[in-house]
Amino acid sequence: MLQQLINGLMLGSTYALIALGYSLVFGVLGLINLAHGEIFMLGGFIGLMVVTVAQLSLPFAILGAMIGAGLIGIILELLCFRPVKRSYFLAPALSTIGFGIVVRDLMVNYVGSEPKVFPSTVQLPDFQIGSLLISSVQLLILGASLFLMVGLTLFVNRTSLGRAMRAVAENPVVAQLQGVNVARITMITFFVSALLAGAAGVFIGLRIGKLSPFIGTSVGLKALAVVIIGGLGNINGAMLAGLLVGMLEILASAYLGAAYSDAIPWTLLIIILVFRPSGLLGSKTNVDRA
Amino acid sequence: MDIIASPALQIIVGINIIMALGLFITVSAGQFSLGHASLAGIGAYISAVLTVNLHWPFLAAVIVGALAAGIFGAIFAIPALRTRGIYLSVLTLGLGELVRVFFSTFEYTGGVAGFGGMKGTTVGIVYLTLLFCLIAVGILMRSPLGRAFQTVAADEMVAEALGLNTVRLKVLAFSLGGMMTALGGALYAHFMFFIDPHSFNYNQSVFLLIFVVFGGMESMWGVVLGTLILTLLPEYFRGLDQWRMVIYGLVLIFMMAVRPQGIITKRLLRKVGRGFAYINKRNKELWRFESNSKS
Repeated sequence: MLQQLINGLMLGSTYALIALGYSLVFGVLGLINLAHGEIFMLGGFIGLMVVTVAQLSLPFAILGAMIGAGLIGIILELLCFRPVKRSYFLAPALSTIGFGIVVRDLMVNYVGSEPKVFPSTVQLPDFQIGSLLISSVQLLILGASLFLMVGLTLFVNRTSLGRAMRAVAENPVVAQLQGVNVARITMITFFVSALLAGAAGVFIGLRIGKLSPFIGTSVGLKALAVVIIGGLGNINGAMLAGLLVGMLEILASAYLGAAYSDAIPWTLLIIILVFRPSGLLGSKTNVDRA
Repeated sequence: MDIIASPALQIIVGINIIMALGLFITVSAGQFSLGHASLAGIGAYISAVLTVNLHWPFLAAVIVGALAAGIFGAIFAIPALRTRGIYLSVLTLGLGELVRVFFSTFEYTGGVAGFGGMKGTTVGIVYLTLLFCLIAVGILMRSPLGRAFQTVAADEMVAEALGLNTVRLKVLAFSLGGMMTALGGALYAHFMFFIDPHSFNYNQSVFLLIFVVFGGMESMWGVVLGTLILTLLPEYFRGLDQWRMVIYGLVLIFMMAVRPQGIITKRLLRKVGRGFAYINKRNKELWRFESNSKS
Protein backbone atom coordinates (compact mmCIF):
# COMPACT_ATOMS: atom_id res chain seq x y z
CA MET A 1 0.00 0.00 0.00
CA LEU A 2 2.71 2.44 1.04
CA GLN A 3 4.71 1.30 -1.99
CA GLN A 4 1.74 2.15 -4.22
CA LEU A 5 1.41 5.55 -2.59
CA ILE A 6 5.06 6.29 -3.32
CA ASN A 7 4.61 5.22 -6.96
CA GLY A 8 1.56 7.45 -7.09
CA LEU A 9 3.59 10.33 -5.73
CA MET A 10 6.13 9.91 -8.58
CA LEU A 11 3.48 9.80 -11.27
CA GLY A 12 1.60 12.63 -9.62
CA SER A 13 4.60 14.93 -9.45
CA THR A 14 5.24 14.35 -13.17
CA TYR A 15 1.60 15.14 -13.97
CA ALA A 16 1.90 18.24 -11.83
CA LEU A 17 4.94 19.42 -13.80
CA ILE A 18 3.06 19.11 -17.10
CA ALA A 19 -0.12 20.57 -15.64
CA LEU A 20 1.81 23.62 -14.43
CA GLY A 21 2.72 24.36 -18.05
CA TYR A 22 -0.91 24.39 -19.12
CA SER A 23 -1.78 26.48 -16.12
CA LEU A 24 0.92 29.10 -16.73
CA VAL A 25 -0.10 29.62 -20.36
CA PHE A 26 -3.77 29.73 -19.48
CA GLY A 27 -3.15 32.11 -16.62
CA VAL A 28 -1.31 34.58 -18.84
CA LEU A 29 -3.20 34.19 -22.15
CA GLY A 30 -6.52 32.66 -21.20
CA LEU A 31 -5.90 30.02 -23.88
CA ILE A 32 -5.17 26.31 -23.85
CA ASN A 33 -2.02 25.03 -25.50
CA LEU A 34 -3.01 21.65 -26.92
CA ALA A 35 0.50 20.95 -28.24
CA HIS A 36 1.84 20.84 -24.68
CA GLY A 37 1.75 17.03 -24.55
CA GLU A 38 3.84 16.80 -27.73
CA ILE A 39 6.38 19.24 -26.32
CA PHE A 40 6.64 17.01 -23.29
CA MET A 41 7.19 13.98 -25.54
CA LEU A 42 9.83 15.87 -27.50
CA GLY A 43 11.60 16.79 -24.26
CA GLY A 44 11.80 13.11 -23.35
CA PHE A 45 13.37 12.28 -26.70
CA ILE A 46 15.87 15.11 -26.47
CA GLY A 47 16.88 13.77 -23.06
CA LEU A 48 17.21 10.29 -24.52
CA MET A 49 19.41 11.59 -27.32
CA VAL A 50 21.64 13.47 -24.93
CA VAL A 51 22.19 10.19 -23.07
CA THR A 52 22.57 7.88 -26.07
CA VAL A 53 24.07 10.00 -28.85
CA ALA A 54 26.08 12.60 -26.90
CA GLN A 55 26.91 10.07 -24.11
CA LEU A 56 26.38 12.61 -21.35
CA SER A 57 25.11 11.99 -17.83
CA LEU A 58 21.55 12.34 -16.62
CA PRO A 59 21.65 15.92 -15.28
CA PHE A 60 22.76 17.07 -18.72
CA ALA A 61 19.92 15.09 -20.26
CA ILE A 62 17.37 16.86 -18.08
CA LEU A 63 18.96 20.23 -18.75
CA GLY A 64 19.14 19.60 -22.50
CA ALA A 65 15.55 18.39 -22.62
CA MET A 66 14.38 21.48 -20.76
CA ILE A 67 16.21 23.94 -22.99
CA GLY A 68 15.30 22.11 -26.20
CA ALA A 69 11.65 21.93 -25.23
CA GLY A 70 11.74 25.57 -24.15
CA LEU A 71 12.95 26.65 -27.59
CA ILE A 72 10.17 24.63 -29.23
CA GLY A 73 7.77 26.42 -26.89
CA ILE A 74 8.97 29.76 -28.25
CA ILE A 75 8.52 28.56 -31.84
CA LEU A 76 5.02 27.41 -30.90
CA GLU A 77 4.19 30.84 -29.54
CA LEU A 78 5.48 32.56 -32.67
CA LEU A 79 3.58 30.23 -35.03
CA CYS A 80 0.34 29.46 -33.25
CA PHE A 81 -0.46 32.28 -30.85
CA ARG A 82 1.07 35.52 -32.03
CA PRO A 83 -0.41 35.57 -35.56
CA VAL A 84 -3.84 34.22 -34.54
CA LYS A 85 -6.64 36.58 -33.62
CA ARG A 86 -7.83 36.23 -30.04
CA SER A 87 -11.47 36.86 -30.86
CA TYR A 88 -11.83 33.29 -32.15
CA PHE A 89 -11.00 31.27 -29.07
CA LEU A 90 -10.92 27.99 -30.99
CA ALA A 91 -8.46 29.19 -33.62
CA PRO A 92 -5.33 29.18 -31.41
CA ALA A 93 -6.41 25.87 -29.86
CA LEU A 94 -6.74 24.21 -33.27
CA SER A 95 -3.53 25.84 -34.42
CA THR A 96 -1.70 24.22 -31.50
CA ILE A 97 -3.32 20.90 -32.39
CA GLY A 98 -1.83 21.37 -35.87
CA PHE A 99 1.55 22.09 -34.29
CA GLY A 100 1.21 18.96 -32.16
CA ILE A 101 0.48 16.86 -35.26
CA VAL A 102 3.58 18.27 -36.98
CA VAL A 103 5.83 17.60 -33.97
CA ARG A 104 4.48 14.09 -33.45
CA ASP A 105 4.73 13.03 -37.06
CA LEU A 106 8.20 14.52 -37.52
CA MET A 107 9.20 12.50 -34.47
CA VAL A 108 7.57 9.34 -35.88
CA ASN A 109 9.48 9.89 -39.12
CA TYR A 110 12.70 10.45 -37.26
CA VAL A 111 12.70 7.74 -34.58
CA GLY A 112 9.98 5.40 -35.87
CA SER A 113 6.73 4.53 -34.18
CA GLU A 114 8.23 1.80 -31.97
CA PRO A 115 8.97 2.77 -28.36
CA LYS A 116 12.61 3.59 -27.69
CA VAL A 117 14.25 2.11 -24.62
CA PHE A 118 16.11 4.28 -22.16
CA PRO A 119 19.60 2.76 -21.82
CA SER A 120 20.35 0.87 -18.62
CA THR A 121 23.49 2.92 -18.00
CA VAL A 122 21.15 5.58 -16.65
CA GLN A 123 19.54 3.17 -14.21
CA LEU A 124 20.88 3.95 -10.76
CA PRO A 125 20.94 1.70 -7.68
CA ASP A 126 17.85 0.99 -5.59
CA PHE A 127 17.38 1.60 -1.88
CA GLN A 128 15.68 -0.78 0.49
CA ILE A 129 13.98 0.99 3.40
CA GLY A 130 12.21 -1.61 5.48
CA SER A 131 9.88 -3.37 3.08
CA LEU A 132 9.85 -0.44 0.68
CA LEU A 133 11.81 -0.49 -2.54
CA ILE A 134 12.72 2.99 -3.67
CA SER A 135 14.92 3.43 -6.69
CA SER A 136 17.21 6.41 -6.84
CA VAL A 137 15.52 7.30 -10.13
CA GLN A 138 12.32 7.77 -8.19
CA LEU A 139 14.09 9.88 -5.62
CA LEU A 140 15.63 11.94 -8.39
CA ILE A 141 12.26 12.47 -10.08
CA LEU A 142 10.60 13.44 -6.83
CA GLY A 143 13.44 15.73 -5.80
CA ALA A 144 13.74 17.41 -9.18
CA SER A 145 9.96 17.85 -9.50
CA LEU A 146 9.72 19.42 -6.08
CA PHE A 147 12.71 21.63 -6.85
CA LEU A 148 11.13 22.80 -10.12
CA MET A 149 7.75 23.43 -8.51
CA VAL A 150 9.22 25.43 -5.64
CA GLY A 151 11.42 27.26 -8.13
CA LEU A 152 8.42 28.13 -10.28
CA THR A 153 6.43 29.38 -7.30
CA LEU A 154 9.33 31.58 -6.24
CA PHE A 155 9.85 32.76 -9.82
CA VAL A 156 6.22 33.76 -10.25
CA ASN A 157 5.80 35.31 -6.81
CA ARG A 158 9.19 36.86 -6.03
CA THR A 159 10.96 38.01 -9.19
CA SER A 160 10.17 41.07 -11.27
CA LEU A 161 9.60 38.87 -14.35
CA GLY A 162 7.13 36.84 -12.32
CA ARG A 163 5.40 40.03 -11.23
CA ALA A 164 5.17 41.13 -14.87
CA MET A 165 3.67 37.75 -15.73
CA ARG A 166 1.04 38.10 -13.05
CA ALA A 167 0.29 41.61 -14.26
CA VAL A 168 -0.27 40.36 -17.82
CA ALA A 169 -2.44 37.55 -16.45
CA GLU A 170 -4.58 40.05 -14.58
CA ASN A 171 -5.03 42.49 -17.43
CA PRO A 172 -2.78 42.67 -20.52
CA VAL A 173 -3.88 46.16 -21.52
CA VAL A 174 -3.19 47.70 -18.12
CA ALA A 175 0.08 45.78 -17.90
CA GLN A 176 1.11 47.24 -21.26
CA LEU A 177 0.21 50.72 -20.02
CA GLN A 178 2.39 50.16 -16.95
CA GLY A 179 5.34 49.52 -19.23
CA VAL A 180 5.32 45.71 -19.29
CA ASN A 181 6.43 44.26 -22.60
CA VAL A 182 3.46 41.92 -23.04
CA ALA A 183 4.81 40.20 -26.16
CA ARG A 184 8.08 39.38 -24.39
CA ILE A 185 6.33 38.16 -21.24
CA THR A 186 4.08 35.93 -23.33
CA MET A 187 7.12 34.41 -24.98
CA ILE A 188 8.86 33.85 -21.63
CA THR A 189 5.70 32.21 -20.31
CA PHE A 190 5.75 29.74 -23.17
CA PHE A 191 9.45 29.11 -22.62
CA VAL A 192 9.00 28.37 -18.92
CA SER A 193 5.94 26.25 -19.56
CA ALA A 194 7.79 24.13 -22.13
CA LEU A 195 10.84 23.97 -19.85
CA LEU A 196 8.82 22.12 -17.22
CA ALA A 197 7.26 19.84 -19.84
CA GLY A 198 10.72 18.95 -21.17
CA ALA A 199 11.90 17.90 -17.72
CA ALA A 200 8.71 15.89 -17.19
CA GLY A 201 9.37 14.10 -20.49
CA VAL A 202 12.72 12.81 -19.23
CA PHE A 203 11.16 11.78 -15.90
CA ILE A 204 8.41 9.76 -17.58
CA GLY A 205 11.02 8.17 -19.85
CA LEU A 206 13.06 7.15 -16.80
CA ARG A 207 10.05 5.88 -14.90
CA ILE A 208 8.58 3.75 -17.68
CA GLY A 209 11.99 2.92 -19.15
CA LYS A 210 10.91 3.67 -22.70
CA LEU A 211 9.47 6.43 -24.85
CA SER A 212 7.12 6.43 -27.82
CA PRO A 213 6.18 9.40 -30.03
CA PHE A 214 2.54 8.74 -29.12
CA ILE A 215 3.01 9.19 -25.40
CA GLY A 216 2.50 12.95 -25.70
CA THR A 217 -1.20 12.74 -26.48
CA SER A 218 -2.20 10.32 -23.71
CA VAL A 219 -0.15 11.85 -20.90
CA GLY A 220 -0.75 15.39 -22.17
CA LEU A 221 -4.51 14.89 -22.07
CA LYS A 222 -4.41 13.48 -18.56
CA ALA A 223 -2.39 16.48 -17.46
CA LEU A 224 -5.06 18.68 -19.05
CA ALA A 225 -7.64 16.95 -16.86
CA VAL A 226 -5.33 17.49 -13.89
CA VAL A 227 -5.02 21.20 -14.48
CA ILE A 228 -8.78 21.67 -14.70
CA ILE A 229 -9.34 19.58 -11.58
CA GLY A 230 -6.90 21.84 -9.76
CA GLY A 231 -8.33 25.03 -11.21
CA LEU A 232 -7.04 26.58 -14.43
CA GLY A 233 -4.46 29.25 -13.90
CA ASN A 234 -3.79 28.20 -10.31
CA ILE A 235 -0.28 26.87 -9.65
CA ASN A 236 -0.96 25.33 -6.23
CA GLY A 237 -4.11 23.72 -7.56
CA ALA A 238 -2.21 22.09 -10.41
CA MET A 239 0.31 20.58 -7.97
CA LEU A 240 -2.36 19.35 -5.58
CA ALA A 241 -4.49 17.85 -8.35
CA GLY A 242 -1.44 16.30 -10.00
CA LEU A 243 -0.52 14.42 -6.84
CA LEU A 244 -4.15 13.44 -6.21
CA VAL A 245 -4.70 12.09 -9.72
CA GLY A 246 -1.33 10.31 -9.77
CA MET A 247 -2.05 8.54 -6.47
CA LEU A 248 -5.59 7.54 -7.42
CA GLU A 249 -4.44 6.30 -10.81
CA ILE A 250 -1.75 4.06 -9.31
CA LEU A 251 -4.18 2.77 -6.69
CA ALA A 252 -6.80 2.09 -9.37
CA SER A 253 -4.39 0.21 -11.59
CA ALA A 254 -3.21 -1.83 -8.58
CA TYR A 255 -6.63 -2.76 -7.26
CA LEU A 256 -9.05 -2.41 -10.22
CA GLY A 257 -6.92 -3.19 -13.27
CA ALA A 258 -4.84 -1.08 -15.64
CA ALA A 259 -7.70 -0.47 -18.09
CA TYR A 260 -9.67 1.43 -15.45
CA SER A 261 -6.80 3.67 -14.42
CA ASP A 262 -7.32 5.66 -17.62
CA ALA A 263 -10.81 6.52 -16.43
CA ILE A 264 -9.62 8.01 -13.12
CA PRO A 265 -8.58 11.52 -14.23
CA TRP A 266 -11.72 11.91 -16.34
CA THR A 267 -14.14 10.68 -13.70
CA LEU A 268 -12.55 13.06 -11.23
CA LEU A 269 -12.69 15.86 -13.82
CA ILE A 270 -16.40 15.39 -14.47
CA ILE A 271 -17.25 15.25 -10.76
CA ILE A 272 -15.21 18.39 -10.10
CA LEU A 273 -16.64 20.33 -13.05
CA VAL A 274 -20.20 19.48 -12.09
CA PHE A 275 -19.92 20.32 -8.42
CA ARG A 276 -17.16 22.92 -8.41
CA PRO A 277 -16.62 24.32 -11.92
CA SER A 278 -13.72 26.53 -10.80
CA GLY A 279 -11.66 23.47 -9.77
CA LEU A 280 -10.27 22.56 -6.36
CA LEU A 281 -8.40 25.79 -5.75
CA GLY A 282 -9.40 27.89 -8.76
CA SER A 283 -11.11 31.24 -8.64
CA LYS A 284 -14.41 32.10 -10.27
CA THR A 285 -12.87 34.71 -12.58
CA ASN A 286 -10.93 32.13 -14.56
CA VAL A 287 -14.12 30.20 -15.30
CA ASP A 288 -15.64 33.32 -16.79
CA ARG A 289 -12.55 34.00 -18.87
CA ALA A 290 -12.65 30.65 -20.61
CA MET B 1 -7.63 13.71 -59.33
CA ASP B 2 -8.19 10.01 -60.00
CA ILE B 3 -8.17 9.40 -56.23
CA ILE B 4 -11.76 10.70 -56.21
CA ALA B 5 -12.77 7.70 -58.33
CA SER B 6 -12.16 5.21 -55.50
CA PRO B 7 -15.50 4.17 -53.94
CA ALA B 8 -13.87 3.63 -50.54
CA LEU B 9 -12.73 7.24 -50.46
CA GLN B 10 -16.12 8.44 -51.66
CA ILE B 11 -17.74 6.58 -48.76
CA ILE B 12 -15.26 7.97 -46.23
CA VAL B 13 -15.81 11.53 -47.51
CA GLY B 14 -19.58 11.08 -47.26
CA ILE B 15 -19.42 9.59 -43.77
CA ASN B 16 -17.06 12.29 -42.54
CA ILE B 17 -19.41 14.99 -43.82
CA ILE B 18 -22.38 13.33 -42.07
CA MET B 19 -20.44 13.14 -38.79
CA ALA B 20 -19.19 16.72 -39.12
CA LEU B 21 -22.73 17.97 -39.84
CA GLY B 22 -23.82 16.31 -36.60
CA LEU B 23 -21.13 18.18 -34.69
CA PHE B 24 -22.13 21.34 -36.57
CA ILE B 25 -25.64 21.11 -35.06
CA THR B 26 -24.15 20.92 -31.56
CA VAL B 27 -21.63 23.68 -32.30
CA SER B 28 -24.36 25.94 -33.70
CA ALA B 29 -25.66 26.20 -30.13
CA GLY B 30 -22.18 27.20 -28.97
CA GLN B 31 -21.33 23.77 -27.55
CA PHE B 32 -17.81 23.00 -28.81
CA SER B 33 -17.85 19.31 -28.08
CA LEU B 34 -14.66 17.25 -28.15
CA GLY B 35 -16.54 14.04 -27.44
CA HIS B 36 -18.54 13.54 -30.60
CA ALA B 37 -16.41 10.70 -31.92
CA SER B 38 -17.44 8.65 -28.92
CA LEU B 39 -21.11 9.31 -29.77
CA ALA B 40 -20.30 8.03 -33.26
CA GLY B 41 -18.73 5.05 -31.51
CA ILE B 42 -21.88 4.40 -29.51
CA GLY B 43 -23.94 4.45 -32.71
CA ALA B 44 -21.41 2.20 -34.42
CA TYR B 45 -21.25 -0.37 -31.62
CA ILE B 46 -25.01 -0.54 -31.02
CA SER B 47 -25.84 -0.91 -34.71
CA ALA B 48 -23.05 -3.47 -35.13
CA VAL B 49 -24.33 -5.61 -32.25
CA LEU B 50 -27.84 -5.39 -33.71
CA THR B 51 -26.84 -6.59 -37.17
CA VAL B 52 -24.16 -9.14 -36.23
CA ASN B 53 -25.44 -10.68 -32.99
CA LEU B 54 -29.18 -10.09 -33.30
CA HIS B 55 -29.43 -10.32 -37.12
CA TRP B 56 -31.43 -7.14 -37.50
CA PRO B 57 -31.82 -5.65 -40.99
CA PHE B 58 -29.10 -3.11 -41.78
CA LEU B 59 -31.33 -0.05 -42.07
CA ALA B 60 -33.23 -0.64 -38.82
CA ALA B 61 -29.97 -1.26 -36.92
CA VAL B 62 -28.39 1.96 -38.22
CA ILE B 63 -31.44 4.02 -37.29
CA VAL B 64 -31.76 2.49 -33.82
CA GLY B 65 -28.01 2.98 -33.27
CA ALA B 66 -28.32 6.66 -34.12
CA LEU B 67 -31.39 7.15 -31.91
CA ALA B 68 -29.67 5.45 -28.98
CA ALA B 69 -26.64 7.70 -29.42
CA GLY B 70 -29.06 10.65 -29.38
CA ILE B 71 -30.06 9.59 -25.85
CA PHE B 72 -26.37 9.41 -24.89
CA GLY B 73 -25.91 12.86 -26.41
CA ALA B 74 -28.55 14.16 -24.01
CA ILE B 75 -26.72 12.42 -21.14
CA PHE B 76 -23.50 14.13 -22.30
CA ALA B 77 -25.29 17.46 -22.17
CA ILE B 78 -26.29 17.17 -18.52
CA PRO B 79 -22.85 17.65 -16.93
CA ALA B 80 -21.99 20.04 -19.77
CA LEU B 81 -24.79 22.41 -18.81
CA ARG B 82 -22.81 24.09 -16.06
CA THR B 83 -19.70 24.66 -18.14
CA ARG B 84 -18.81 26.68 -21.20
CA GLY B 85 -15.91 27.49 -23.50
CA ILE B 86 -12.72 25.54 -22.93
CA TYR B 87 -14.14 23.85 -19.82
CA LEU B 88 -16.99 22.40 -21.87
CA SER B 89 -14.60 21.14 -24.53
CA VAL B 90 -12.39 19.42 -21.96
CA LEU B 91 -15.40 18.01 -20.12
CA THR B 92 -16.81 16.44 -23.30
CA LEU B 93 -13.31 15.15 -24.06
CA GLY B 94 -13.39 13.44 -20.66
CA LEU B 95 -16.82 11.95 -21.32
CA GLY B 96 -15.53 10.63 -24.64
CA GLU B 97 -12.51 9.06 -22.92
CA LEU B 98 -14.83 7.36 -20.42
CA VAL B 99 -16.84 5.89 -23.30
CA ARG B 100 -13.60 4.63 -24.83
CA VAL B 101 -12.52 3.03 -21.53
CA PHE B 102 -15.97 1.42 -21.31
CA PHE B 103 -15.69 -0.15 -24.76
CA SER B 104 -12.10 -1.22 -24.02
CA THR B 105 -13.24 -3.19 -20.99
CA PHE B 106 -16.64 -4.39 -22.24
CA GLU B 107 -16.08 -8.04 -23.13
CA TYR B 108 -19.39 -8.48 -25.00
CA THR B 109 -18.12 -6.28 -27.85
CA GLY B 110 -14.62 -7.73 -27.79
CA GLY B 111 -12.96 -5.15 -25.52
CA VAL B 112 -9.73 -3.72 -26.91
CA ALA B 113 -9.65 -6.41 -29.60
CA GLY B 114 -12.67 -4.86 -31.31
CA PHE B 115 -15.80 -6.17 -32.94
CA GLY B 116 -16.23 -7.35 -36.53
CA GLY B 117 -18.53 -8.81 -39.14
CA MET B 118 -20.67 -5.82 -40.13
CA LYS B 119 -21.35 -5.05 -43.77
CA GLY B 120 -23.87 -3.31 -45.97
CA THR B 121 -22.73 0.30 -46.45
CA THR B 122 -22.59 1.30 -50.12
CA VAL B 123 -21.83 4.57 -51.89
CA GLY B 124 -25.52 4.96 -52.72
CA ILE B 125 -26.68 4.52 -49.11
CA VAL B 126 -24.05 6.95 -47.82
CA TYR B 127 -24.94 9.70 -50.27
CA LEU B 128 -28.70 9.24 -49.82
CA THR B 129 -28.12 9.61 -46.07
CA LEU B 130 -25.91 12.61 -46.69
CA LEU B 131 -28.60 14.24 -48.84
CA PHE B 132 -31.14 13.60 -46.09
CA CYS B 133 -28.75 15.10 -43.50
CA LEU B 134 -28.05 18.20 -45.62
CA ILE B 135 -31.78 18.83 -46.07
CA ALA B 136 -32.41 18.22 -42.36
CA VAL B 137 -29.64 20.61 -41.27
CA GLY B 138 -30.75 23.18 -43.85
CA ILE B 139 -34.32 23.12 -42.54
CA LEU B 140 -33.15 23.05 -38.92
CA MET B 141 -30.94 26.12 -39.30
CA ARG B 142 -33.83 28.13 -40.79
CA SER B 143 -36.35 26.87 -38.25
CA PRO B 144 -37.18 28.62 -34.95
CA LEU B 145 -35.20 25.89 -33.17
CA GLY B 146 -32.09 26.59 -35.25
CA ARG B 147 -32.44 30.33 -34.61
CA ALA B 148 -32.76 29.58 -30.90
CA PHE B 149 -29.54 27.53 -31.06
CA GLN B 150 -27.76 30.46 -32.68
CA THR B 151 -29.07 32.82 -30.02
CA VAL B 152 -27.74 30.58 -27.26
CA ALA B 153 -24.38 30.48 -29.04
CA ALA B 154 -24.27 34.26 -29.46
CA ASP B 155 -25.21 35.15 -25.89
CA GLU B 156 -26.70 32.86 -23.32
CA MET B 157 -27.89 35.71 -21.11
CA VAL B 158 -29.76 37.32 -23.99
CA ALA B 159 -31.27 33.97 -24.91
CA GLU B 160 -32.61 33.58 -21.40
CA ALA B 161 -33.87 37.14 -21.33
CA LEU B 162 -35.77 36.37 -24.54
CA GLY B 163 -37.51 33.57 -22.71
CA LEU B 164 -35.63 30.70 -24.35
CA ASN B 165 -35.14 27.57 -22.28
CA THR B 166 -31.35 27.32 -22.62
CA VAL B 167 -31.13 24.03 -20.71
CA ARG B 168 -33.59 22.35 -23.06
CA LEU B 169 -31.90 23.86 -26.10
CA LYS B 170 -28.43 22.66 -25.10
CA VAL B 171 -29.68 19.15 -24.39
CA LEU B 172 -31.44 19.15 -27.76
CA ALA B 173 -28.32 20.42 -29.54
CA PHE B 174 -26.26 17.60 -28.06
CA SER B 175 -28.93 15.02 -28.69
CA LEU B 176 -29.75 15.94 -32.31
CA GLY B 177 -26.09 16.50 -33.18
CA GLY B 178 -25.06 13.27 -31.50
CA MET B 179 -27.75 11.42 -33.43
CA MET B 180 -26.47 12.62 -36.80
CA THR B 181 -22.83 11.95 -35.89
CA ALA B 182 -23.84 8.47 -34.74
CA LEU B 183 -25.62 7.90 -38.03
CA GLY B 184 -22.25 8.45 -39.67
CA GLY B 185 -20.63 6.19 -37.09
CA ALA B 186 -23.10 3.36 -37.78
CA LEU B 187 -22.48 3.64 -41.52
CA TYR B 188 -18.74 3.65 -40.82
CA ALA B 189 -18.98 0.43 -38.81
CA HIS B 190 -20.85 -1.31 -41.64
CA PHE B 191 -18.35 -0.07 -44.18
CA MET B 192 -15.17 -1.00 -42.27
CA PHE B 193 -16.38 -4.55 -41.31
CA PHE B 194 -14.46 -4.04 -38.05
CA ILE B 195 -14.40 -1.45 -35.25
CA ASP B 196 -12.37 -1.09 -32.07
CA PRO B 197 -12.44 1.49 -29.27
CA HIS B 198 -9.57 3.40 -30.88
CA SER B 199 -11.60 4.08 -34.03
CA PHE B 200 -13.52 6.62 -31.96
CA ASN B 201 -10.93 8.19 -29.69
CA TYR B 202 -9.96 11.76 -28.84
CA ASN B 203 -8.10 12.22 -32.13
CA GLN B 204 -11.25 11.52 -34.13
CA SER B 205 -13.22 14.02 -32.05
CA VAL B 206 -10.54 16.61 -32.67
CA PHE B 207 -10.58 15.93 -36.41
CA LEU B 208 -14.36 16.38 -36.46
CA LEU B 209 -14.04 19.75 -34.72
CA ILE B 210 -11.27 20.74 -37.13
CA PHE B 211 -13.53 19.82 -40.09
CA VAL B 212 -16.21 22.15 -38.73
CA VAL B 213 -13.95 25.08 -37.90
CA PHE B 214 -11.68 24.86 -40.93
CA GLY B 215 -14.42 25.25 -43.52
CA GLY B 216 -16.32 27.83 -41.51
CA MET B 217 -18.84 27.06 -38.80
CA GLU B 218 -21.26 29.82 -39.72
CA SER B 219 -22.93 27.76 -42.41
CA MET B 220 -23.28 24.09 -43.26
CA TRP B 221 -21.58 24.64 -46.61
CA GLY B 222 -18.42 25.60 -44.76
CA VAL B 223 -18.60 22.30 -42.90
CA VAL B 224 -19.09 20.38 -46.15
CA LEU B 225 -16.18 22.14 -47.85
CA GLY B 226 -13.88 21.88 -44.82
CA THR B 227 -14.51 18.15 -44.44
CA LEU B 228 -14.07 17.60 -48.17
CA ILE B 229 -10.72 19.43 -48.26
CA LEU B 230 -9.32 17.92 -45.07
CA THR B 231 -10.38 14.37 -45.96
CA LEU B 232 -8.94 14.57 -49.45
CA LEU B 233 -5.75 16.45 -48.46
CA PRO B 234 -3.96 13.51 -46.80
CA GLU B 235 -5.11 11.23 -49.64
CA TYR B 236 -3.86 13.67 -52.23
CA PHE B 237 -0.44 13.72 -50.60
CA ARG B 238 -0.38 9.94 -50.21
CA GLY B 239 2.67 9.90 -52.49
CA LEU B 240 4.56 11.78 -49.77
CA ASP B 241 3.52 9.02 -47.38
CA GLN B 242 4.97 9.83 -43.97
CA TRP B 243 5.02 13.58 -44.55
CA ARG B 244 1.33 13.96 -45.29
CA MET B 245 0.23 14.49 -41.69
CA VAL B 246 3.02 17.04 -41.28
CA ILE B 247 1.58 18.90 -44.27
CA TYR B 248 -1.88 18.56 -42.73
CA GLY B 249 -0.65 20.16 -39.52
CA LEU B 250 1.10 22.98 -41.36
CA VAL B 251 -2.03 23.71 -43.42
CA LEU B 252 -4.01 23.87 -40.20
CA ILE B 253 -1.55 26.28 -38.54
CA PHE B 254 -1.49 28.46 -41.68
CA MET B 255 -5.27 28.58 -42.03
CA MET B 256 -5.85 29.44 -38.38
CA ALA B 257 -3.43 32.36 -38.70
CA VAL B 258 -4.83 33.62 -42.01
CA ARG B 259 -8.52 32.81 -41.76
CA PRO B 260 -9.55 31.79 -38.24
CA GLN B 261 -13.23 32.21 -39.08
CA GLY B 262 -13.04 29.42 -41.66
CA ILE B 263 -13.13 29.42 -45.44
CA ILE B 264 -16.84 30.05 -45.97
CA THR B 265 -18.48 32.74 -43.86
CA LYS B 266 -21.96 34.20 -44.02
CA ARG B 267 -20.39 37.40 -45.38
CA LEU B 268 -18.76 35.48 -48.19
CA LEU B 269 -22.01 33.70 -48.98
CA ARG B 270 -23.85 37.05 -49.08
CA LYS B 271 -21.16 38.52 -51.33
CA VAL B 272 -21.41 35.56 -53.67
CA GLY B 273 -25.19 35.85 -53.53
CA ARG B 274 -25.01 39.55 -54.38
CA GLY B 275 -22.58 38.76 -57.17
CA PHE B 276 -25.01 36.29 -58.69
CA ALA B 277 -27.86 38.74 -58.22
CA TYR B 278 -25.78 41.40 -59.97
CA ILE B 279 -24.95 39.11 -62.89
CA ASN B 280 -28.60 38.10 -63.16
CA LYS B 281 -29.70 41.71 -63.17
CA ARG B 282 -27.16 42.65 -65.81
CA ASN B 283 -28.11 39.68 -67.95
CA LYS B 284 -31.74 40.69 -67.70
CA GLU B 285 -30.95 44.28 -68.59
CA LEU B 286 -28.79 43.15 -71.45
CA TRP B 287 -31.50 40.87 -72.67
CA ARG B 288 -34.09 43.66 -72.39
CA PHE B 289 -31.74 46.00 -74.22
CA GLU B 290 -31.20 43.48 -76.96
CA SER B 291 -34.87 42.66 -77.32
CA ASN B 292 -35.67 46.42 -77.34
CA SER B 293 -33.13 47.10 -80.04
CA LYS B 294 -34.47 44.25 -82.11
CA SER B 295 -38.01 45.57 -82.07
